[in-house]
Amino acid sequence: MVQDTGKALRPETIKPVNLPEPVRVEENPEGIPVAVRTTRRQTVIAIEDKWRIDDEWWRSEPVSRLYYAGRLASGQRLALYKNLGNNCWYRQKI
Amino acid sequence: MKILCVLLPHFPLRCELMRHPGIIERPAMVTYTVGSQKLILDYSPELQGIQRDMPLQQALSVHGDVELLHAAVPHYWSVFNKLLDALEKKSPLVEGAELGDVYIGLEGLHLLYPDDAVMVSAIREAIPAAFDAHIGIAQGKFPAYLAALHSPPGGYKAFTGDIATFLKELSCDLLPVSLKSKERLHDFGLHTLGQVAVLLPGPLQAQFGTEGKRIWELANGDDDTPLYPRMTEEMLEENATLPSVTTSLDVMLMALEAMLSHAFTTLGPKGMGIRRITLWTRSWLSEHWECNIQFKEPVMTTKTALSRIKQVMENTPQPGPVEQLGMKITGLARQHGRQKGLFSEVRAKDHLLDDIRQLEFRLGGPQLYKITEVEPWSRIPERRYALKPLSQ
Repeated sequence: MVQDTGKALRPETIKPVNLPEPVRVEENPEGIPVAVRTTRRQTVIAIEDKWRIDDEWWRSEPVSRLYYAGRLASGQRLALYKNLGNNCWYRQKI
Repeated sequence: MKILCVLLPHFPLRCELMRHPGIIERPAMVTYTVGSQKLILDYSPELQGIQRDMPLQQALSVHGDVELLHAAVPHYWSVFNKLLDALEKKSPLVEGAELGDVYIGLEGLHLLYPDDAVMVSAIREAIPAAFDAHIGIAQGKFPAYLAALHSPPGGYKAFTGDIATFLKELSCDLLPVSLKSKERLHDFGLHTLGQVAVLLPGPLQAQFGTEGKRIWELANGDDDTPLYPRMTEEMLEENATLPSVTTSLDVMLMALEAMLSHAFTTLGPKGMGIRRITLWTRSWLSEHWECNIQFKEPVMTTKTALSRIKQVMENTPQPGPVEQLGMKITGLARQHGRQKGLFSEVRAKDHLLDDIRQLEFRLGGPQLYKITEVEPWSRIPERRYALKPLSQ
């Protein structure tokens, strides 16, 4: 059995890193992102990768995401995902 | 070294008489408090059977009808320091050993003061007549002290040659050595300096150790104790009389804060900080309370100084309701950096943690974080790492 270290856990002091950031995305009829709206509209010129994550199915809000790794017209790379639970788009560093 | 000794007998009492001239005709005792006990600090010379440090109750049983005065030690030192300032204009080597005892170095002053009489009259000019100064001149502190002790009123006594004859009949109790040694001298039947002087130094050393040699030298009129002239130190003094007597710590702290702020208006532009504060209060019954506060590093702000003062005042209760309070600020110094250790990398982490904890304490929560792996294998990006406070 693991012994109690006596240290206070203080979970409130732990901060998450790389939380997904909601973003407005224009998608084509197939559901593939074509433009991202942040401060201005930026066109997605290429989708380089696509994958799906289904995890934590035991939780009340299971994780079900469809990720796209793409490139913007400015040359910037970005990763977007669509939350299949609420159909919202998010931006996240991979 | 040729030394002039000035003795100002009953100095505390004479300071009080200067402050309260109305009681000059009445016998008086000056008392001080140790714990709950009141002891005698000084008394009128005509009161026979009274000794310094005697309990007040005992003294009152001998002389009941006397004027009682509470000692105001800061005031006595203030008067004494002014007197030393005046004496420093006559000689640069002035030592204020105790309240009322002054030693002055006379080396090299013969060009200014051709003989002892001129020197003594110059010294007397610097001392108010009310203090009834006794002046003695000799080679060494102890002979000069004895000369002053036996000087005629208004005059002086100087030892130039052999003083053994003069010392012969004086009591061993005058020796500036420990009480235990004096008692042992009496136990050996040695009651006068002459009886000690005729002995060989060897037996005295055998009985009294290193002090034995000193006893023998002093009894022969030799004293090579160096003169310790006053060090000039910049000092600020602040004091205030409260509008009404108070026991409230908050009121006292407000007054002290105002004094500190005033002091920092002088020190701030010079970039100076405070290393030492002597706090004092005077209760409405004239009881004196004093406390020294040392700072590890020079404090540069009122807030920092006040937090330490508050801590000290909370832990040391006042003797009674306070009427007057003040502070003496010394050890003025510039702010300095922290000394780095030779093996800095060994302690660097500890120092960093100390600084981080202080920052957290001041700003009320974690301020610096490090990235920690939580589930680096997770497919969900935000589950892989987390920010953990550096201090944990």
